[in-house]
Amino acid sequence: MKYMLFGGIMVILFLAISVIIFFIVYQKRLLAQQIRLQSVQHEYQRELLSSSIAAQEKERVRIGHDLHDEIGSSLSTAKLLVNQLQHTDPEKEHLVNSVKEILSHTIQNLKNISLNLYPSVLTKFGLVEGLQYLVSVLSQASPLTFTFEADEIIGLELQQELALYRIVQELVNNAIKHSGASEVQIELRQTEHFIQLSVRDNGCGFNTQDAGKGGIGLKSIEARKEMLKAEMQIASIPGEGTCIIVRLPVL
Amino acid sequence: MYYSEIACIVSVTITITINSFSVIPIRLAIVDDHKLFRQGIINLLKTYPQFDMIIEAESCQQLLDALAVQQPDIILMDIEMPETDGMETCKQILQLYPQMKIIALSMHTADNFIFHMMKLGARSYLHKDIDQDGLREAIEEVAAKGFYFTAKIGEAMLRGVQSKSIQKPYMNGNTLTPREKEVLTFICKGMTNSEIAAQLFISIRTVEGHRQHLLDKTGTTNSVSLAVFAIKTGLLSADEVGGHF
Amino acid sequence: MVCTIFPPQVLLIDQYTLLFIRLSWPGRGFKTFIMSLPFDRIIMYGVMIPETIAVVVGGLRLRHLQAPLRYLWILVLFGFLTDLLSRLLILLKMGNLFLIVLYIPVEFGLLAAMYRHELHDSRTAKIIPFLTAGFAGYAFFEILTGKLQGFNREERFVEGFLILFFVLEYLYRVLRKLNIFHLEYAPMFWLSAGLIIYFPCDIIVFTFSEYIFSSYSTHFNLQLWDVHAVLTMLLYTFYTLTLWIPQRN
Repeated sequence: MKYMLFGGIMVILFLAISVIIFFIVYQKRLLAQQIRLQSVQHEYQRELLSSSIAAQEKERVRIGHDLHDEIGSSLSTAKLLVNQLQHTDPEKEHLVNSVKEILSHTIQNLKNISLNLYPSVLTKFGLVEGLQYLVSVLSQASPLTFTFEADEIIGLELQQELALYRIVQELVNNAIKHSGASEVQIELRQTEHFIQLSVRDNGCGFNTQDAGKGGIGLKSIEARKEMLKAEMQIASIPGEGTCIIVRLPVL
Repeated sequence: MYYSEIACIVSVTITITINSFSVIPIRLAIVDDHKLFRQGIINLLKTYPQFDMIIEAESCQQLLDALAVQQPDIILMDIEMPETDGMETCKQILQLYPQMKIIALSMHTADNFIFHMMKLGARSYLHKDIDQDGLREAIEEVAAKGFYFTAKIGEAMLRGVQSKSIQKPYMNGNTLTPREKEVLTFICKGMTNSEIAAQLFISIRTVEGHRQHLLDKTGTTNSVSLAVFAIKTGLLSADEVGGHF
Repeated sequence: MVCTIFPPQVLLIDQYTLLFIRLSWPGRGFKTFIMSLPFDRIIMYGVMIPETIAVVVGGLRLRHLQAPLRYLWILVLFGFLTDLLSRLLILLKMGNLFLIVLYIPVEFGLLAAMYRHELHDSRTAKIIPFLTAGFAGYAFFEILTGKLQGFNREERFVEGFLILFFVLEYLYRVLRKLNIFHLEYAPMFWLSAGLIIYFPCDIIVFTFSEYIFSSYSTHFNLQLWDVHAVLTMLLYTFYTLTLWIPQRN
C-alpha cells in the first residue's frame, strides 16, 4: 500500500512536470507559427498593395498619354483648321477668334491635366528630369518659389520612380493648397544605403497630432510608402514651416 | 529664215530662264500616327504652292518603305508613336540618309525632349499647337538654312548643354533601355542574378524583371539565345561574350 | 509550511527529539552523530533553506516587483513566519494545528489575488474575491466553533483544486493570446509551474495522511510528510525563481 501511494505520488509529479514541459514546447511552436503567418500575411498585403498601385499607375499613364497625344493632337488640328477659316469670312472674325481662344485654353488645360496624370518626362528621362520638369511647370503656374536639387539617382525601377514622383506631387500639392507657403524646397539625395527625398516649405505648419485627418491625400502617400518599404518623418512647427522626409533603402 | 531660228532660241532661253527663276517646291514628308492631325497638316500645306507633300506615313516602317522609293527634302516627324517612337525613327533615318532634314513635331514641350531630338539630329522642334505661319516659316528656314531655332529651343539647348548629367531617354521600340543593355552584358558574361544585382546595386528581383524584359523584347527563351542575339545585333562583340557558353 | 501535526504526533516528534537528544549524548563521536541523523530530520530542517532564500530574494527585489508579485512576497514571508512559529510551538510542546486554519485562507487569498490580476477580465476573476471571502469566513467559523484541533483535509483539497483551476486558466490564456515571446521571462509562468507540481501531490498527501495514520504505521505517515516537505522545498524554489526573474515582455 505504501509503495502504491508513493508510486501514485511519483506518477502525479511526473505528470505535472510533463505538462509543464509540453506546455513550454507547444507555446513556443505556436508562437513561431503565428509569427510566420503574420509575416506571410504582411508580405501578401504588400504584394496586393503594390499590384494595385501598379494597376492604378497603368491606368493613369494610359489615360494621360491618350489625353495628351490623341486629344491634344485633334485639338491642335482643329485649331489649325479654324485658323484657315479666319481668313475666309471677315464678318465671322470674332466668332472664329472665340473658337480659337477656347481651343487654346482647352489645350492648355489638357496639358495640365495630363501632366498630373502622366509624367512623360519621367518615363522617358528618369526621376530627376521628371521632377525638374514638374518644378519648372509649377514655378510658372503658381506664385510660389520652388527650388529643386538632386543627385543622380540610380537603381530604381520605373514603378518606384513613379511612386516617389507621386509622393512629391501629393506633398507639393498639400504645401500649395494648405500651408500658404511662399517657398518650397525639394531635395533628392542618394547615399550608399538609401535614397532620401525631402520637401520643405515655410508655410503655416500643422500640428503633427492632427495629421490623422489628412484625407485621401495622405493615405495615398502611405500606400506608396508601404510599397516602397520607405520611412517617412514629418517635422512641423506651427507658424514656421514643415519638413517632410521620405527615406527608402537601396539594395 | 533666220527669224524662226532666232524665235526658237529666244523662246527656249525664255523658258529656261522662267524655269530657273520659278520656285522649286520643297518636297515634304509627314509621319504621324494621328490620322486627323496628319490630314490637317497636309490640307494646310496644300494651300502653299511652295510645298509639295510627297510622302504620308503612319509609322516608322511605312516611312522607311516610302523613302526607299523617293526622298523628300524635309520630314515632319511626330515624336510619340506606338511601336517605334520619333526618337528611334529619327536615329534610323539619319543612319540611312544622313543628309535628311527632320523637323520634330510634338505635343511635349519639356526641355528634355527638345534637347534630345536636337541631339539626335533634328533641325527644328515644333509644338503641334503651332499656327500655320509659324509652320511655313519653320519649313522654309530649314529648307534654306538647314535649321530653325525658336527661343524655346535655344533655352532647351542651353540647359541640355550645361547640365552635368545628360540623361539618355528610354526609347521604346526595338531598342533596349540602358539598364537592360547593362544587364544583358552581364548575362552574356555568365554572371548570376545575384552577382549582377551586386554589381549594379539593384535588387535581385529587379534583375529578374530585366531578364524577363530582355527575353520578351528579343523574342528569345534562354541566356544562350540572348547572347547570340547580342552578337548578331552588334550590341556586344563576340570576344566579349565568348568563352562563357 | 510544514509540521502540521496531529495531536498524537506531538508525541512522535517528542520521540524524535528524544532520539536526537539520545544521539547527541556525549560519548558518541560527532561523526557518528551526523551519520545517524535521520533523513527525515535533514529534510525537515532543510525546508527552511529555500524558504529563507525566497524571503531574502524577494526582499532584495522588492522595489522592482510589480503588482502581482508583491502578493507573492507577502505570501512567502507569511509562510516563512508560519513555519518558524510552528517549529517554535513544537519546541514549546504546544499544539500548532490552528496555524493551518489561518494559513489556508491567507495562502489562497494571496495566490488568488495574483491570478486575479493576471486573468483580470475573465469570469473567474470576478468570483475570486467571493471565494477568498468564503475561505476567510470558513476560517472564522472554525475559530468560533473551536474546531481548531481538526485537520482541514477537505479545505486543502478545495483550495488545491481551485488554485489548479486558476493555473490552468492562466496557461490556457497564454496559449490563446500568444503574446509572450520568452516564456522563461514570464514570472507568472514559473509560479504556475511550481503550483501545478505542488498542489496535486500535496492534495494526495493531505488526503491520505489521516487514513494512513490511522491504519498504518506512523513511520509511514512521517514519510508521507517528508514528501510534503520536499514538495514545499520545490515550491519555494519556484517562488524564488518567480521573484528573481525580471519582469519583461
